[in-house]
Amino acid sequence: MNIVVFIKQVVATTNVKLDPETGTMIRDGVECILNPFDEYAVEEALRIKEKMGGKVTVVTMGPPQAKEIIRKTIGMGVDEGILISDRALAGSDTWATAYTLSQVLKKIGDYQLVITGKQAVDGDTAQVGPEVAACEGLPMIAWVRKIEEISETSIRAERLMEDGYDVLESPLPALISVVKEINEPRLESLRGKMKAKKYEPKVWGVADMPGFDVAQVGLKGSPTKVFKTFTPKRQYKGEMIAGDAAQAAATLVGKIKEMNIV
Amino acid sequence: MLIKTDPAIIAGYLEDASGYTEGCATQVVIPETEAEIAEYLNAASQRREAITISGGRTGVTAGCVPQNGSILSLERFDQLGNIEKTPDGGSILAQSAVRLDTLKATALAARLLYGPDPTERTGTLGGNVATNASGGQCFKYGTTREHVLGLTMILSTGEKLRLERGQSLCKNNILRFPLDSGRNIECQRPQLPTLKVDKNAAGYYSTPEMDALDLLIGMDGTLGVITEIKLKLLPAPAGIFSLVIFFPTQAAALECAGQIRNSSQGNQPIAGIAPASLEFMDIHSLNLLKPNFSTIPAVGQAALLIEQEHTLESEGQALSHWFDYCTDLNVPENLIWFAQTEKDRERIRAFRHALPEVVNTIVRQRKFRKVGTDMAVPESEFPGMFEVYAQGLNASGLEYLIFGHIGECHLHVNVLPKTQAEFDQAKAMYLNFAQQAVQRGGTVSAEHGIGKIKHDFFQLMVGAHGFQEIARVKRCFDPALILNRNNIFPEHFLGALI
Ligand SMILES: Cc1cc2nc3c(=O)[nH]c(=O)nc-3n(C[C@H](O)[C@H](O)[C@H](O)COP(=O)(O)OP(=O)(O)OC[C@H]3O[C@@H](n4cnc5c(N)ncnc54)[C@H](O)[C@@H]3O)c2cc1C
Ligand SMILES: Cc1cc2nc3c(=O)[nH]c(=O)nc-3n(C[C@H](O)[C@H](O)[C@H](O)COP(=O)(O)OP(=O)(O)OC[C@H]3O[C@@H](n4cnc5c(N)ncnc54)[C@H](O)[C@@H]3O)c2cc1C
Repeated sequence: MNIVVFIKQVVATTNVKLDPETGTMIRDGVECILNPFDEYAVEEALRIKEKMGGKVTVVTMGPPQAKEIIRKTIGMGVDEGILISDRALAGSDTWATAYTLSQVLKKIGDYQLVITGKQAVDGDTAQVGPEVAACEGLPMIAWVRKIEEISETSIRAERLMEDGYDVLESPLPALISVVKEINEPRLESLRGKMKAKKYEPKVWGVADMPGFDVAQVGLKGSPTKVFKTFTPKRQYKGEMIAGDAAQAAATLVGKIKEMNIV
Repeated sequence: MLIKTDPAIIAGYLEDASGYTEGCATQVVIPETEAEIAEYLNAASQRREAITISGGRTGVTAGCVPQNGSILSLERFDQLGNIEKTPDGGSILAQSAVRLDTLKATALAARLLYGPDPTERTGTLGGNVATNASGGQCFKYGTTREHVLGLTMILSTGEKLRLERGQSLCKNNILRFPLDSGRNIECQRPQLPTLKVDKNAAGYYSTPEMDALDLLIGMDGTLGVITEIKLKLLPAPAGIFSLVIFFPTQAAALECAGQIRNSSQGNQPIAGIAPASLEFMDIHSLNLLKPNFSTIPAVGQAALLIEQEHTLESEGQALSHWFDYCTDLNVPENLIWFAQTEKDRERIRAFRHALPEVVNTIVRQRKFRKVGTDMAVPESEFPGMFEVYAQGLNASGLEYLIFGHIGECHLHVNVLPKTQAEFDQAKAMYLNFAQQAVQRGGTVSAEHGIGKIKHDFFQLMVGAHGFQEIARVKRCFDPALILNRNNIFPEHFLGALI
């Protein structure tokens, strides 16, 4: 079974610092990591490969530094990594990103399963997976928390829902997105790490993908238009309630009642 | 200065991580300046009011738990000074309530390293110095002691002592401490049996050529209130990686630990094998962790936890040296965890820290204190000591686990009793272990200290004469005998507070 996993490089959220004047993220010297949900995607792909044989390929669209997350997955046991990097892609929104990734799938050709994370912890839209599936006409199972059965031609998986889960079956090839309940990702192995240190991923630009329509990507090709970004002002001020514990609790209950919250 | 007498507030100061439940005090005193401490202690000395010093309350021997009198909490002494850089690292002044994690992070941000790394990062530096705390990387960096460059301490007389390393060395067995009042404390160093281990947190430090400063490190709050500490910082390594190696037999893990120890000391060097820390977990420890860490390999009967530092240039080499060594050991790849990114290393830290926490949870549920040893023995005695543990524990039928700092021949045996009878049985076994450790030139407490709950074990080491020696030295610093009574030795060696 050949599996393609889409991975994204994100800023380690614990370290996010905002510029107090502009309210934008300070990117200098911030640690970048593999999007945590994509770690589960990679782990699941490796588990399937260990059971069924085949090959795991990771693909990321991003700047040259994104090679680091490819190396990280090579250390975990991934066979091959491809970086999609091209000036033409700068400013792409989720749709343009998905279009690009779908073109990558066309070029790879021989695959039975595509796995993405549920969402990226920075962009947070959870759109890229479904959009890729739409572009390629692939069946999709979102929010997979368990793969119950998989063969070369079909998959049965549990989709996490707010009030339980659905069991869905689909022919392959298909695309699934995974949630963190699905597994516990492995660490890199020592041997893998040594291989990863020397590993040079393939780099593809738009010219490497036959039939790629540049008009679909970049700032121009992106249907999303950003009009303005700003840091929301805090609407409410905190209030300290004085007095001993019993008194303060009573005041608090009074206030909650006043606000009709309970 | 704040004084709190609300029993609900006092209750929060009556426990540490020892499980000792008999704490009792009339008030919590929270000073904000050294002058307030001096004034309060001086008056308390006149009144003969017992004082127990409170830091982060993460101690495991009830050292900070009062049995009567007042609690003196240093929580307002939480300021960290600026780093002074030097060509070979630097130094920093910290008030005593600065937390270990704060100091470590501050140092790291300046690419420097504070060497000591006790597992519990929320403890305070004052507590760390008072207990001479140490952690995994003690294997390379030694205990807190080696990183203290000086300190400021307020005595119960209200006088202030400020001492730097190298300022006052022991001469003809006399220790000399200059006070701000102009007076000097001069006392004979405590006459205690000489140990054959470097890692020790039991009782006062005493060697013929000692620095007077070293008497104040590991004194468990019995000599004075530490307000400020000058600490040494080292250049931070460019990189570090963690390995957890699972072994199919415990014997294989022990043998490997011996090899790594020898290699690190240069006795029988194996290329590139010189880690900063070397720790051990037995099968019972692994079993306790399995519910929370599903990827622990089922075949693992014991594990070694290793941290290896490297420079930018030596990274590739360091990795391949360890790879070669693991290949020589015949450990299959799926029995090795490897972590290098900060996020992955955090997972291994969490794995290691989870063990004492899981144990503490069980203890709280069962309501019987765990019986936990903290002994270190000289290297030549270690295999024999391990045999003593294994035989005693297996024959006992009690629930136990063994883990800890195998690099320094310092393992923790934890027995988890379910009944009073089991607790008593475990205590008796502990006493036997302690006797064995002492006979082998070891210590009954390598890192946790004696506090209020290990007097009888300490007595095995130093005898009643040792208690008298420590009490004699305490009198020189704390003539009213009000500070941290019942720590290290039973308070009847001091006489009653009148
Ligand atoms: C107008 C506009 C301009 C933008 N310009 C830029 C820009 O210049 N630079 C920039 O970095 N971002 C830019 N973005 C953000 C970028 O479009 C999104 O970060 C990206 O499309 C992924 O969306 P997301 O983070 O919400 O991922 P989600 O949809 O939440 O991710 C779901 C899953 O899709 C996969 N995936 C997501 N992104 C990638 C990827 N890049 N490669 C491989 N797999 C992926 C992963 O498996 C992930 O778990 C722009 C967005 C907009 C709207
Ligand atoms: C999960 C866990 C893991 C641990 N791991 C380790 C470990 O790896 N290594 C290790 O050594 N310890 C370990 N400990 C024990 C504990 O963290 C250390 O003993 C630590 O040094 C205590 O610091 P504290 O600030 O909490 O001190 P407290 O518990 O408040 O006090 C400890 C003693 O120091 C005295 N003291 C505190 N502050 C001062 C001061 N300013 N002046 C004078 N005396 C003072 C107290 O009176 C008391 O006698 C662990 C504890 C836990 C709960």
